[in-house]
Amino acid sequence: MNVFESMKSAVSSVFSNKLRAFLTMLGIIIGISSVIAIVSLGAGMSNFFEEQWATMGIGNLEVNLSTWGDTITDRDLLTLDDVEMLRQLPGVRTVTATLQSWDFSMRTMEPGETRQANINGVMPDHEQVVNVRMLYGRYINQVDIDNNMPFAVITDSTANRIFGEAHAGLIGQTIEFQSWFAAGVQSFTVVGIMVNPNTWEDMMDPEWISENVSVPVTTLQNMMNVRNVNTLHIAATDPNEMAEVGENVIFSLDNSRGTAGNYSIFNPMNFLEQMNEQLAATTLVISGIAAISLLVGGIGVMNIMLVSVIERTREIGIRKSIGARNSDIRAQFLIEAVILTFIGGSIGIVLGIFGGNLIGGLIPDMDIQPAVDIMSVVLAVVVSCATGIIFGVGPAIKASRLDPIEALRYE
Amino acid sequence: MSQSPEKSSVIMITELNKIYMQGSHDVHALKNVNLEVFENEFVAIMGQSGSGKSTMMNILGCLDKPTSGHYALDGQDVSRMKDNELAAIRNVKIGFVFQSFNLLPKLTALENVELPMIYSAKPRAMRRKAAMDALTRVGLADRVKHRPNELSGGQRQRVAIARALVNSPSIILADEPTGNLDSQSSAEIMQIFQNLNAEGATIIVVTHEPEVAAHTKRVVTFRDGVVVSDKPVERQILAGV
Repeated sequence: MNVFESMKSAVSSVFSNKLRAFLTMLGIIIGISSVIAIVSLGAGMSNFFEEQWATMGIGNLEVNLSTWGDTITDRDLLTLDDVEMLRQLPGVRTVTATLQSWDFSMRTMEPGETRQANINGVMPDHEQVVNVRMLYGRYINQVDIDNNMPFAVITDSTANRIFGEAHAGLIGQTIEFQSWFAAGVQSFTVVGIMVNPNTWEDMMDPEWISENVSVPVTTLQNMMNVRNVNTLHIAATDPNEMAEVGENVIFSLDNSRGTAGNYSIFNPMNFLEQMNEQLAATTLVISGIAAISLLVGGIGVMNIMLVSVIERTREIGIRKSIGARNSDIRAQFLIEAVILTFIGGSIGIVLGIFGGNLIGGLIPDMDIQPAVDIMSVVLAVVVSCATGIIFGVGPAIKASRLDPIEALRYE
Repeated sequence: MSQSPEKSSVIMITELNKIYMQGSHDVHALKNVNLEVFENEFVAIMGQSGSGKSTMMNILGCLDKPTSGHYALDGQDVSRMKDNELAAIRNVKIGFVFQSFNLLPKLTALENVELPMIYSAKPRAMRRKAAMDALTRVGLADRVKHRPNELSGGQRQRVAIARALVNSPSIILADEPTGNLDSQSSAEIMQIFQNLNAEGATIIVVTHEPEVAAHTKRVVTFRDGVVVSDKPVERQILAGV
């Protein structure tokens, strides 16, 4: 019997009792759909986190002073001179510095009302470093830095909260800061409005949010009366070389001070890798648990196939009497088992994709797009068919070994 | 027994014994049986239950193998063949007709008749044509799409005969073919066998009814596993007359 005829015969056998076929497939459907849903959610979460990190500068090393307390002298602090020095190092693409201050609050349109501000002193390259998306106007540029200009780039969220709406007309608008440690008001002019990278803030109570404002680092240094910066952000020309570039940077910095171990470097790639590893491990474990239902489904298939063989004892006898070989009978039942699991697996894949999307949509606050890749689908199909073969082969062999004379007598 | 020199021997059974185990003791079902059947013969194998006729039929049909002795079918010794080879013999050289018809209930008449050809991997067009021809030969051309449960007993048996014919077998082996039929249908079936025999088929009918045996041309009688008589039929009853 050729394969095509066997398959035709198997399909009509399987579907002669639709309810039984469905109930048999149920275990496979549940198993495959759970695994697909879980894996696609895991992939979606991984992508989501990577995107989040990208907006925060995933490809960048961050260098900070690592020792605190009395052992620090002014010499140890990071400065703009270090930026110049590090730009000369081989393998370095960009170096920028940031300085942060929480000492200021921003005046709103209501007289006497202020909101907590988080002022970031930045350099022009920082726009690239954290993938700033400008909505209106421009980012801080080198002229602003060189001249300590009182220019500011605010976020669209800040614009909404302070002015009611973010729009192009706000360019040129004055904003005012006051500090707790000095009298008087610092006036800045808005030169640009950017998309707020902290997307989770939209979900929070505005009372707890501080206004993120970017100003020239030199201007902030003057406002705070300091000469240092907090953090250096370094991008490597070849992302694969980031670890080595990092070592060079630390060495240079320590060398220039004659110290060792003064500076710490944070490679977000390590963090991301660790997080991805953990996510992958968790996904694997949960998938493994879901796969148990696949095992149960396979046992169900075997059970039903055994019953089917016994029910069809007479049919097997008839087929053998008209010339079916043992291998024909074996193939017939094996193909039936594989068809059951293949169809069950296919339904499971479709349901799993839907389920993953459904659950992904239900996760609050995070826009997670479950990702199904071709490999998962192919693997699911292969596993389904393998389940059919593994659990169908026993009953199929049993069927093929029936004695035709006994089988014909069976009723 | 005189034989015409042109006719060849289809079945040659020599010193055949069959012993099988039932429970704790051996049953010697067939004892040193010798039997020869020539082309175009119409033979009835008769006997009561326990006479060994069913065992003989199973061996003739290659469903079972002898314990000792030989069985040559069309000059080929099939007594020691392996399972797969026997399956091929059953497919091509033997056409079975059973007492309870043994059609597959979920297939149409046409599909039932095609089944042996599916196992010999004949192409589709050829199968269709051969099956239609066989069903026409037994007078069922207008019922080919019917399922067995939509057919009468006589019609079902005719489908079974068509199925037996479809691979042009060397022998047609019928086990109590009229056992489940009323007298009218029985007569129809025996008439079909007689027609087939007239067209050249070699037919062996296993039966315990003398009236059925009277429709054939030679009666071999078994008792206690031994051939006790082997005589031509003096006056063959012609069915449908």
